[in-house]
Amino acid sequence: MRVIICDRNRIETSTISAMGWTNSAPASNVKNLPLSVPARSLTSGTEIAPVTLEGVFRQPETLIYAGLFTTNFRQSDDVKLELFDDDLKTEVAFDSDWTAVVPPLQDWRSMRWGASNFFRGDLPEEDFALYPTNVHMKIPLGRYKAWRWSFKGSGYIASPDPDINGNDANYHQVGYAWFSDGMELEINPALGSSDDYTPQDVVSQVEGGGEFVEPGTGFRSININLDQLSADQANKLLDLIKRVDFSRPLVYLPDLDDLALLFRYAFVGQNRSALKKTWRALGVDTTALQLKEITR
Amino acid sequence: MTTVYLVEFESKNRTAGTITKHRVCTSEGFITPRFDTEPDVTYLPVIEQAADISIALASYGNVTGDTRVEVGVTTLNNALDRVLGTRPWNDMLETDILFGQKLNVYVVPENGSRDTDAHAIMSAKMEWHETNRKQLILRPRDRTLDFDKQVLKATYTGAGGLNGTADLKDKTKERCFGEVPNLIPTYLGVINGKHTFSVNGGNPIEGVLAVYDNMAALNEVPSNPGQTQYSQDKTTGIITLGAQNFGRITCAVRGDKTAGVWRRTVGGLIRWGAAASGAMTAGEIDGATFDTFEAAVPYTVGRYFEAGSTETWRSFFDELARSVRSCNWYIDSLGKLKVGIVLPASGTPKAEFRLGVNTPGVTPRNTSRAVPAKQTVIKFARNLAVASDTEIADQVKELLPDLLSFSKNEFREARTAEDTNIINLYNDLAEVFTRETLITYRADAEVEAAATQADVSQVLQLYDLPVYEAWPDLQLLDVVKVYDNLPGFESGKLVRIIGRSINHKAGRYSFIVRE
Repeated sequence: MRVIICDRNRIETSTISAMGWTNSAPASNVKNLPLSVPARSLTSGTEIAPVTLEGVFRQPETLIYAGLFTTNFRQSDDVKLELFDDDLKTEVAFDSDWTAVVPPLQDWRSMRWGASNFFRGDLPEEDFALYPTNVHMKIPLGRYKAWRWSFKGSGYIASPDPDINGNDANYHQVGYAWFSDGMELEINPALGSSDDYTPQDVVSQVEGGGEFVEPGTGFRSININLDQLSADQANKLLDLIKRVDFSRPLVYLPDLDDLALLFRYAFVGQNRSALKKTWRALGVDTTALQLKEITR
Repeated sequence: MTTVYLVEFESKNRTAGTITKHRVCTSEGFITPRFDTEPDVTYLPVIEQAADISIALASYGNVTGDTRVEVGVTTLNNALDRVLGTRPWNDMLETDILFGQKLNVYVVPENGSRDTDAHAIMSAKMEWHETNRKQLILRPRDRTLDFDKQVLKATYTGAGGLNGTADLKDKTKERCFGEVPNLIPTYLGVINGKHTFSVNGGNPIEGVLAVYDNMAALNEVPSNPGQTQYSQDKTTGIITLGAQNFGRITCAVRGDKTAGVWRRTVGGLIRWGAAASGAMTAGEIDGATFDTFEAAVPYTVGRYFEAGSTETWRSFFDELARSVRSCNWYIDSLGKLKVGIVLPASGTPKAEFRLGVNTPGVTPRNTSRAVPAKQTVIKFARNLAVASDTEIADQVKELLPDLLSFSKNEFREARTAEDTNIINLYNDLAEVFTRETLITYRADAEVEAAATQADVSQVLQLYDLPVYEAWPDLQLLDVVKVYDNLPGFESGKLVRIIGRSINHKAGRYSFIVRE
């Protein structure tokens, strides 16, 4: 595992083109949280006429990762990211070509014959809504000036009835977009680090011993123990925590090369830990990092 | 699936007067689906506490027609949360006012449709808001308070003639509604050589039935009245007297007939008054419940507001509702004005509650148990001009005993027979139940007395019924069935909802029900 923590989302200072997106839920909604205030496109995209979300950074930015959070893409939809060296989007520096929203997550040998997800190895339809549909894209390290996401497919409408699969939406919806560089943590095998998921349902008791549960929205979180921090890492970590405090968003990426792992475990969240850099030995420090997913 | 609370409230720009609608929701977030009439509209997820209201209709023993509504607050987050950007409400609070603007609360399942899946919990207007560093607290206000306006608005200019003498200047003009058996009209002075009186502030009336001089009736003529005569103008409610001198002039009037309809029933007057007061538009009045109510309660009532009266529409509606047993006027969760009688529970229940399944059980409210009644007395035909001996003409004293008795007493009474069963059952500790009403006729009063006696002879118990969600489909006066271990509930008992209380933040919802 090579854990990367990203902050300083470069989209905050980027200009975004509004064409193709509604007025009440405009494209600029991807620049900021909350996740539940998304941008919605007017139509859905096709191969010839994809729906695009494009913009220009304020200055050339160094990027290693791009993400889209809380979208409504179906597993069968495709996305494409292009990055450019110039404002006019003529000099292509990176083109991801069409890639599936959800990468293969399971080995076909471990699945039942005839399952709905047998050939693609993605999630079974009924489980797809378990995770917020986040798209993660690794970018080769470089400096880029402009960007364009393209979407094709149908998108889904989330249904209030959990037993009904979402119907085709015929629009695309994105809650939050992310472009940034990141800080790679030297994870020394430290016992006690964990990826967590905490349900937020509220359980109340009834007379006679029964229980009644009010549903809530659970969240993922991580607790990372960093037992042997070098001085350089410690300094970078202090800078990071000072930048974000508890309020600014971060993205946690367990391994940028393993898309399946990213789908299940990566999230956009906030820091919830103070920095307690304990002096262990000369040049070696210890601290712990706790990040919590933003669900709204 | 979680439940999302939506609050939609409006603010009014101080200078331009434009209304802006604000949409907020609880933290799950909400965006309207593409197929809604207003598609793709996002709600800002800043609600800390959605709704906290409690409303209860008059229960037994308080057949007063007073609806008690206590509203709590809706708290919105106004923090400088970097997730949201700037403090969301500061700009709006500088330029707009919230007092008197609308506030509506809905509950909707997550990912549901605003058009089809959202249920209204409360429809209110706002009082002054409160702010602190982190929150904006919106305070809904009970809409029945909108009727705290004076009934009488037009005033006499004191310019003489039909505008009244100088001593009437700036005094509000009197109004008469329904049928009032004896009232003191406003004296306008001498007009065209005749003493002139007004009974309805210049508005049309159905007709004056009698004019009394010291309780001796005068004769009516179409015009030019002589010594013991009077004439009336029905389009202006003006009485012209022929006499040169007179004692104490009172009259029996069938009052207000604006727009050609003589309104004389409880339901009819509340319905008309709600729109006439300006506090509600016609669309906010639930016509169906009023139609049903008027079919059930066709009594003629009467109320006279003398010139200068400062009484409000709210107290007028309360008096009208008090004229019928267990009757209430109230505004439901959709913001519609309704009137209804709290009958004992019967019929098909709209929902079932079972101990341990969707309720922790009912709890009796012991504080409101009243004494059962063995007899009911309904006081009706209120005499607004009770006469002393010197104010009654001799011929009335000697020849007209009924009129004499009427003149000296404030009310007539309709009394049911004593119920011997109740007397035996409660060892003669039962009481006589008396109520003053606006009813005019004995026949109606006797019907009302019998119905009231049927109501007050059974002492119906009130219960608190806590439930596990807001149950927005259930409205006041709906009947539900409850299974519990308390006496009477073991095989399920029908109860009627007369109150509800919602505290969303604590997750506490409950109903007040009556047998």
